[in-house]
Amino acid sequence: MYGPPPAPPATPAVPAVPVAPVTPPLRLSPKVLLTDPIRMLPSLILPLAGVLFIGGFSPGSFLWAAFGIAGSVIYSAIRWATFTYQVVGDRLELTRALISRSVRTIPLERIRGVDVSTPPLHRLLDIAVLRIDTGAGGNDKQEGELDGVTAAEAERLKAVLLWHARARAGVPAGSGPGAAGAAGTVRGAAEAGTAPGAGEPAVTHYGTRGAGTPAPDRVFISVPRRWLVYGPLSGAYLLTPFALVAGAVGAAFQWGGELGLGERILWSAGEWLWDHPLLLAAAFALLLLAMPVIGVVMYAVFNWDFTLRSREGYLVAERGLLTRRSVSLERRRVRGFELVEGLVERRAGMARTWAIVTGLGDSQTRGQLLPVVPLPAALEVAGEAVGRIAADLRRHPAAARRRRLFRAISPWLVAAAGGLVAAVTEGSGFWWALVAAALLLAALGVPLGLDRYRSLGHAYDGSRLSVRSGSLRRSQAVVERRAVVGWTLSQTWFQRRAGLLTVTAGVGAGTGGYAAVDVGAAAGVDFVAEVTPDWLAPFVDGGTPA
Amino acid sequence: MAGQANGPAARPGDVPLRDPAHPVSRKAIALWLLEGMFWTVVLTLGSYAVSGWIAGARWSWLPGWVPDNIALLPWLVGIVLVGLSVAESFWRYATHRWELTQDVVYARSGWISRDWVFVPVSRIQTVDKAQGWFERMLGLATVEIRTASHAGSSTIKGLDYGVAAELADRLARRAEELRDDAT
Repeated sequence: MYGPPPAPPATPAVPAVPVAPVTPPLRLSPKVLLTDPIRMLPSLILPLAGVLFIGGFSPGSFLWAAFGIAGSVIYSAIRWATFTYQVVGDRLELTRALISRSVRTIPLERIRGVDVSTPPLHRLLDIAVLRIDTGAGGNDKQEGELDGVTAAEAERLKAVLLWHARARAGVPAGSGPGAAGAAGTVRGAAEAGTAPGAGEPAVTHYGTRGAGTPAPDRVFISVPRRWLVYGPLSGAYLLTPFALVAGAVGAAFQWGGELGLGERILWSAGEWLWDHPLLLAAAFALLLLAMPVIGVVMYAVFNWDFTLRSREGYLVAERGLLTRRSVSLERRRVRGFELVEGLVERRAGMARTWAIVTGLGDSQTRGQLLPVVPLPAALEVAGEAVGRIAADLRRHPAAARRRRLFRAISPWLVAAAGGLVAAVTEGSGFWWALVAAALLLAALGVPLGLDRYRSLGHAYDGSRLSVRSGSLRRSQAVVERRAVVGWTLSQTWFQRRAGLLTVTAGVGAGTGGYAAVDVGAAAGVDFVAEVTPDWLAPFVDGGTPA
Repeated sequence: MAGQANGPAARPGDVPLRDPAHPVSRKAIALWLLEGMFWTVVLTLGSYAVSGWIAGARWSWLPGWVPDNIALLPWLVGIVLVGLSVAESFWRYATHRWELTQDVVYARSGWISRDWVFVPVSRIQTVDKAQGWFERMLGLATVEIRTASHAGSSTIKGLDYGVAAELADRLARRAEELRDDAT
């Protein structure tokens, strides 16, 4: 994983950091005494109901139930009273002293971002949940969560944490590979308040940004509400109606007994429905009709008023109707963006955008830069916020088209041939139907293969490279040159026959690698040599051996 | 080297990259042969079990000649796999090569399909030296070079233990000098 910079210098002079007021240990807002028990309620209902039932609703049973509720409130209160957090020098300490005393220490320089979200109940009480992302890669235990700080405190803490994180990490955006390994030096310099020659530009840059003149927020886009109707084009939330029905049926079985509905009644209800196919079909049609509507509603709930803005070195994306979610991505860790278009979205000229960020866990939800928006807007915003590529995609040779077609068609033709053999020997209608289906899919493979070929492309404009592929889900990645940590060129036997090559740029962010599929063999090597000439030059045929 | 012509004679479909400087150890052929034989035995025994099952079951949907000749299946599997693993071992030895310049590790691997990997030393995060069971028997080792991305990571297999140790050591030292945290 992403280790810390090599040998962080020992920091003997912790208090020397200019703006690091040692705050006293702080508690969460007392309002969590309200939210915590309410959140625990669902898990308490069953035991409570059980106690009441067993006790036959006698006064004694009510007493026990009351005990249970009181117990949970007291538990919350103790939890609240024993949990404190504090910024100490260069780290955040979360102390929990419920049974045994545990201190979780999060070095501020490891903080990659801070999420503030406000679930509905929290919003009523004007408190928020603050989550600290340390880029620990999916291991939730490594991350800190402060559930229930006041909204004002959340903002303050976020500012403090992010300010420190940035100041400590030292190297500002754009300093590039030149600042290799200088992180330690720069950090040391920043602390001591002196600037040795080598680190100077970085430090002065840091100084101007960190000197308390925060750049005003800049809003890249505030997605208009009318664009929310395009949400289901991505296919997201379309199956919600079916999921809801399935959930309802499951719940009916689980809870039916307690509501006086025997399982037998439910089964007979199901059988009755099965005996009236017309009704069943109507219900199914209704669900189908509900798909887009419910899809839009669900999508709107999650993506309401999506705004993307920049705030002091962070990209901040906010969205959501009931739970307002705000995700901060450190800009100097953003290496590029990925533009994804489904087939339907492409017809409608829509696209979704993700940021390619180093060391971001759960990047699928956190890294989202834009929801479904028109393609020009997506390109414009991603270009402004992350960086645009100034070169057009280069097409891949005709051999690539043959290969895409072959791969889209031949599996179905093979299946059809197999089915044909079986159909002739067996002569059953089932096999003939299978053959027909396989042939249909093979025919569909023609436009699919052609479209896959049209999607292929790669480009480099001097500072960013881009690759694109896919048809049903076409995705184009634009990545900074400095993010490339290696290359893999691969060639299957078929590709070798066709004189093609797949070039994968290894990137320590996002999915880890972005591939230009089926480039011409020479063009592929040229592409690598163009992006990173010094790495490849000694190895290209005709080049001078090192 | 087949299909890897150097100089102006290269066909248009060839990859215009020269061979990495060093071959792997000759003993690697034995390594690949051993591994191939191991899988040959496993799969042959497996197909023997399957053929016994099919011969015993006599499913109606199978054409009659299948259960009649199913006893040949393990023989077929065994012979094909022995041939393949012999071919693979020598082919791999011809393909697998590596080279370390001042700044870049260049390695080629594969047999039917091939991979060329370029890893700049400045982006290396860890260098591991590993020895499998067969490798220890033959005095070979594998060097695993990792960066922040799987596509920028390389595994050089079948090196003499001494060569691997020296390579890992040199890489680790050089990576320390050139380390670059831009990723």
